[in-house]
Amino acid sequence: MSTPTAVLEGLGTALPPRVVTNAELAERLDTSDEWIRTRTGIAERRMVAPGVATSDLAVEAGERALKSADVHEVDLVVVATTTPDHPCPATAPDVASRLGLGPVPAYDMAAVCSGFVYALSGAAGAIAARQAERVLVIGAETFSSIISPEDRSTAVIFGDGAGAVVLRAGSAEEPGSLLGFDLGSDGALADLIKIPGGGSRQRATGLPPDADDSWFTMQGRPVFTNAVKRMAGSAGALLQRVGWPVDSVDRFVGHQANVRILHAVAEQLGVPADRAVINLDKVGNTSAASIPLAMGAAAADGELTPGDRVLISAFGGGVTWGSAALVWPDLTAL
Amino acid sequence: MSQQLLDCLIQMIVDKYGLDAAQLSPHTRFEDLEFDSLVMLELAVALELRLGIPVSDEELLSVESIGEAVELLDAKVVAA
Repeated sequence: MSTPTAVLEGLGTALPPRVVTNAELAERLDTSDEWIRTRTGIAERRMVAPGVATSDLAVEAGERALKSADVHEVDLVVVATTTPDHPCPATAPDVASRLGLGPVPAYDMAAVCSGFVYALSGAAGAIAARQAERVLVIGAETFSSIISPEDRSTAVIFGDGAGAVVLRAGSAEEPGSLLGFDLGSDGALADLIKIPGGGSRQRATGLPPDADDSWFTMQGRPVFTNAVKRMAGSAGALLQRVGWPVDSVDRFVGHQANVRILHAVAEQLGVPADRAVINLDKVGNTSAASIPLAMGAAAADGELTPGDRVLISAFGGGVTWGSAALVWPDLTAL
Repeated sequence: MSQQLLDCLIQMIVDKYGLDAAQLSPHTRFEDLEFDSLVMLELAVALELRLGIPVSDEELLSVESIGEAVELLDAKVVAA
């Protein structure tokens, strides 16, 4: 009996209705619409209303993914997030319970912007090991909860949202099959992307927490450099492993960090820029939610069609990176 | 100055930013091309990944013209 392969069979997304435009940010920060657009590609992003947490978006996206797959049961729920509802416990059990999925295993995946690819890999591994027949993988973030309203370098980039997929056990020959992964990390660069306070490192000092240390920080220049190098390197290695010539890639779905990073990665790989799916202009960088959100928008717009060879790649805090290769299935993204 | 490196850098600028190669020479100043710090960062990454020359955006920002950039890259190639 051959090893089962994870097959994508459902996709759902959730965005909060509130739109934050560049013009609105320029009213309170020293920035401009032109500066943000030319340097990031972002025109607007979404923001949750007061009282809305990550699990609320995760449940909404999860419901839609289950409906898209036309299934009511899964064997495992994984939630990739940087902004869990609480430091403890994980958000996934709550999401699984509210989705009515019963006492299934459920855990969070913490790999910041690479979280969705890491979660996909874990889910595909559980399917290959026959620990699960069907898995719900959700990337969900309320980044607005960790962004300092005064920090123009991060406030213009990040947004809130969630995207979810349903994977089922199948074969490598069918559309939707996840054909391979390439994951990596380099903890020596942990300081590039971080929330300094709130964890055991800060508590171990015995000092009271500094309020400023509770915000997300990012060192833009080295993140740009490492993101391009690692995404291009990882995606290129994966292409070799799955035996796809670079010109056979129909769509490149990169983590929606910055349009100039996405174009640099595509250029480095040799993928034409117009094959890169771009969704960040409307939603900003939604971290672990960015790849399923981009896939959902592209599927709805007809940019992803059944049979397309899709190359996914992400880079995030840790630092972490990861890539995945799949053949796009016939599905309706909801 | 290495003609090969000069040609590579000019071609890279033409490909990435849609400029006319005929208007680029060793005397062309980055300031006149309106290249900002993000462009220099993109060029630094591309130079390292494509040509294997480890150069930082800070180093590229410290030179003013295409010719000076090629001299900087030349020195790095020799040092390596």
